[in-house]
Amino acid sequence: MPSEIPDNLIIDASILFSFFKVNSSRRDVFKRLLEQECKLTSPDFVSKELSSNKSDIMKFAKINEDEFDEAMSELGNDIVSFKEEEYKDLLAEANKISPHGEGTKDDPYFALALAFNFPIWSDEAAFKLQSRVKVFTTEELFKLLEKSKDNSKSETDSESK
Amino acid sequence: MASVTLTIAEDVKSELKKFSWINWSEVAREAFLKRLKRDEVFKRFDEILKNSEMTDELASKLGDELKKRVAKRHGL
Repeated sequence: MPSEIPDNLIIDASILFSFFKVNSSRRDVFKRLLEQECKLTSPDFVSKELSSNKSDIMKFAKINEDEFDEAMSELGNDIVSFKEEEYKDLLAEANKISPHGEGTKDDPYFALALAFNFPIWSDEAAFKLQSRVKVFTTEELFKLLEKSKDNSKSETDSESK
Repeated sequence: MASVTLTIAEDVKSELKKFSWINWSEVAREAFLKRLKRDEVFKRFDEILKNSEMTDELASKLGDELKKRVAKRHGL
């Protein structure tokens, strides 16, 4: 894998929902990261909670139940879910750096990041207000993927000369 | 069966030779198939989501709600 593309990325929930958008640039980046063997990860319970949004997703994405199940199956194959036990000791520390003050909604994401030194993929600007955990926006990942494509193209070109 | 020729760097070729018992053609074949399968799956998503009315704003709202439920499950 090109060195600048992270080996592992914790995927923020908003990114997951925009997987269901028409012509989603986030879905395109998601696919290209998988092609680069980047492991996409999430905290415990995300997959179950995403399934509980089934009717919302079907309504907004205009898909039927079979299509929803198909998408969930693919997301299940592509995203590695970590058990709470693997990072729960860091939830309190995560709360000190996660960006929403007294709020706790981002704590599992930051705890997982601290436990394994994984960066987070999020377009939430507030995530970058701290410096302990590296945060990539979709645009930054897109640029890295483009750079990696250019590099591998120039390597192939020079080898074939 | 058709055959495909790959170009790789000399140092990579030397590394591959060290593992002569590995069937590199099979490894390459599996990688091609995996990539093709993923491309097909994502092409299908582009097709089934062509009428989607999901927006980034809605995704953020649903994402926020989901994260609150996930935090609650963590006892937070």
